[in-house]
Amino acid sequence: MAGIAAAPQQSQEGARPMARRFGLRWDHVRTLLWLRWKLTVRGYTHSARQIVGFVFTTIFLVGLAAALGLGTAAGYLLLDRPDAAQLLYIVLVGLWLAWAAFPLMQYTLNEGLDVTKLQTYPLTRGEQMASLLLATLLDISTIVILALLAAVIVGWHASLPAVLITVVALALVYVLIVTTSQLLLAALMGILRSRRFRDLMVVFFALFGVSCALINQFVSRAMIGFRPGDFATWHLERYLQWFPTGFGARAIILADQGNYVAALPWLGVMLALAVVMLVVWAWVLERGITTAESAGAGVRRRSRRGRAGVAVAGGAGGGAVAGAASVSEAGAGRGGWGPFSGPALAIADKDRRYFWRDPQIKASLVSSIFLLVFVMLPSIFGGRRVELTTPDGGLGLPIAPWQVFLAPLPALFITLNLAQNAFGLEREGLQTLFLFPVRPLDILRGKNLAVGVVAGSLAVLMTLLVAALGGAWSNVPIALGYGIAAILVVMGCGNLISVFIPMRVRRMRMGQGNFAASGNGCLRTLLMGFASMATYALLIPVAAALLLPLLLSHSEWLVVTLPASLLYAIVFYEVVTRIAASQLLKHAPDILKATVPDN
Amino acid sequence: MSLPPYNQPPADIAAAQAAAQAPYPPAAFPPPDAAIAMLGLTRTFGTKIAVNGLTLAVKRGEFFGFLGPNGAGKSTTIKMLVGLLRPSAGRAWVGGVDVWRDPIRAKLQMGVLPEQLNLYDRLSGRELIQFAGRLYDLPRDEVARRTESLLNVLMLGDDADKLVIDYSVGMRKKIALASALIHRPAVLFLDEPFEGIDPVSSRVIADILRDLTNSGTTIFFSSHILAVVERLCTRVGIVKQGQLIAEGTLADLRQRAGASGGSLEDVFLDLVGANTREGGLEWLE
Repeated sequence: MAGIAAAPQQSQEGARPMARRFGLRWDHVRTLLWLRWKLTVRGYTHSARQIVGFVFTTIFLVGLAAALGLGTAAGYLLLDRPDAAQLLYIVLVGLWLAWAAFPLMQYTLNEGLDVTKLQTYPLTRGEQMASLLLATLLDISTIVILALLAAVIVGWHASLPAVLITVVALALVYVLIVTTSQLLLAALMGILRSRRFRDLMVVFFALFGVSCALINQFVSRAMIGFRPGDFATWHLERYLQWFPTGFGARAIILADQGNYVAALPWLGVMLALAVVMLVVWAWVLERGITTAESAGAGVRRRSRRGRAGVAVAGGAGGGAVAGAASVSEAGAGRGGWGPFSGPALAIADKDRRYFWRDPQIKASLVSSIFLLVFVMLPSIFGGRRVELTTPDGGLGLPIAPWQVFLAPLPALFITLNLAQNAFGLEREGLQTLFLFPVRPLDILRGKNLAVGVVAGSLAVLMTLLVAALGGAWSNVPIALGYGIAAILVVMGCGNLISVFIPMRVRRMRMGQGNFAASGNGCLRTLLMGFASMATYALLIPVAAALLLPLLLSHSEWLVVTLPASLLYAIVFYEVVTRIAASQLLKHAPDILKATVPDN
Repeated sequence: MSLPPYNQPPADIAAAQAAAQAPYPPAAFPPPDAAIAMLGLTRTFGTKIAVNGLTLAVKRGEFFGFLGPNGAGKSTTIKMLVGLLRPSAGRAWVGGVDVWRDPIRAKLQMGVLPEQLNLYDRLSGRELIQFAGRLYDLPRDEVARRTESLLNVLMLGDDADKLVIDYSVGMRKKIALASALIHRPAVLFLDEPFEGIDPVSSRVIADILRDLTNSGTTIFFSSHILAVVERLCTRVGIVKQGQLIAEGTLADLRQRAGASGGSLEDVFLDLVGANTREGGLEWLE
């Protein structure tokens, strides 16, 4: 950056305004590209984990780019020209749309250069735009664009002039793709940075990911009757030709037909569009950076402070605190309920709010329910229709009475999700929690209460629903009994696992995997896998107590096995939770180290 | 009195620790009037010794300033004192209670404003303070009363129902301070409490802290704003490279640094050995 800082400022003085704004000094552009190169290389080689990540990303993207490039090139060469033209429109407009949409979901396709950090240096807009555009060539995802554009040249090279027009058109397509993507990012920066939008998108993507299973079924059904020749009948060009990159496709197709002169105006339109978008992008970017986003808020806060200041001057002052009751009040053991102390209830209350307010936990809860209710349970129940009406006065729906026993499964699934890494899910807040003088048993009981209420409510709801649909009301107490027993066993295991194998839960950004763990290491992940298997093994007695009487047609045994199962679960939960609690304080610094970054 | 460390430190660290000048004989430690005490407190990260055999006692009702350049080990020391980071060696007491042997009793007496505010940011400001009050097991009506008074005094009343994630840095700091004060702690640990706080709030917080010390609260205070330290603190300790290099009242330190009449900043710079004149920056002139 020294090169920039030391640049003689006089060079731009006296120049015309436009030149001052958009003039290019190639040594500046070169310095900026050097910066981008350094940042890119160091970004990928900063640590062993990043190197491994880079290698895997490269393998994936190169594979994807090669498949897309070869596939579309084959399409251009093998399909009839009208079908190939449709494919060209789809590819060029699809690329443009994808690159415009993905960054809005924080899939960082084009990082280019963060020009907001360059505003203090004497750089023209032209230099910023040029270096940003060229810098995108260093983005790893650009390989996909380049592969698809190269395939276009392979498929559309009827003559030398046609190749020239195609290359120019594709260069302009590239500029338009990158510019539109960056322009949208700059224009929507305020919305994209808003917490509510990000929260909403986290939940949206979790649901989207889960619903892919459903979408996949629809797509595969649609693909059964698809023939490549159908392309031409779709007449997509009617719509796609009016997209900015659709102009490029039109120019390429015209050049391929030998209408070189007719192709040139479309190149001109694209060039004009690219210039306009670059200028608008520069303007929006500069406006976004130089407009004091916080100015309004600052004014608002100042006015509030002013009002509050009056209140302080009015005598509240520090005396309000100094006059508070003494420390001896703390720890007096108030506000408890049954086996739950006041602090345990406070923790449960906090967790209950978090289940709804933390988008990541909400996404996990909602997607678990979504997955189980709409995907797994229908697959279990589907094709096993036993009877249309039941002696208990059922609604005549295709659900057998025994299927009530499956109804608590979603609740069990949610308990597994929330209880197995209870402290990891606390994330940074865990540091605050460990500052309070709360008995470890209260911490675990509070957290279990919150999970238990959510899972228990769901178990009751699902069991009653399935019982109503199948008319198997007599099975409800049995199903709920086993459901509660299983939930207790899972929560007990979860307490132990949370203390001994805490895992970091990374804050999910849009475009990343749900609950993606980071920095947990292979050993910890492996241990967590074993712990999960142990949990399933410990559920065997509960499952056996239900299944054996049913399979052996001795349902009268349930009178003994159901209470025995509940007793096993309660004793197991109590013993294991107390063991975990006895170790919690000892392991608190290690749990913090494992779960809270930079602690 | 034999005081075994929790974990045996490596030999070189043990030697470094032994070499540290302990102002109190171990047998008399912790002193009966000490609200905060640490003996041979050591923390290593790999081969780096972040805190090196720190021995110190802060009396009840003192406003103790804990100073040092960046990386001196201030935050690490505070983390060990409040039970967030296990010492490699040494012991720590708060209100006469060993922090690492009886953490719950120790934590009952302390309020903490950490440097890095890892708050429950999906709670509203009001909910966060109430949550803290309930964890200290205060009666609900008392929690509600104190919460409102803290919100008013710290000028957070208008934003009390906003989620903490939407707060500015200064507001987060104030809400964290409110959470640390809700149970009227006997000992208050403050790590950079005035950073990012506007002057009006700074004055209010300073007044609150002074009131607290007047009524017997002990404050252990780390800050880089030396003017505030000079104004508030009754005693100061300066750490450098994990070791306590000076400790005493401002007058003691001035005397020791031979800078009679100088400001705390002069004394501090003198003790930590800052050099601003011989850096080879003549070309700037």
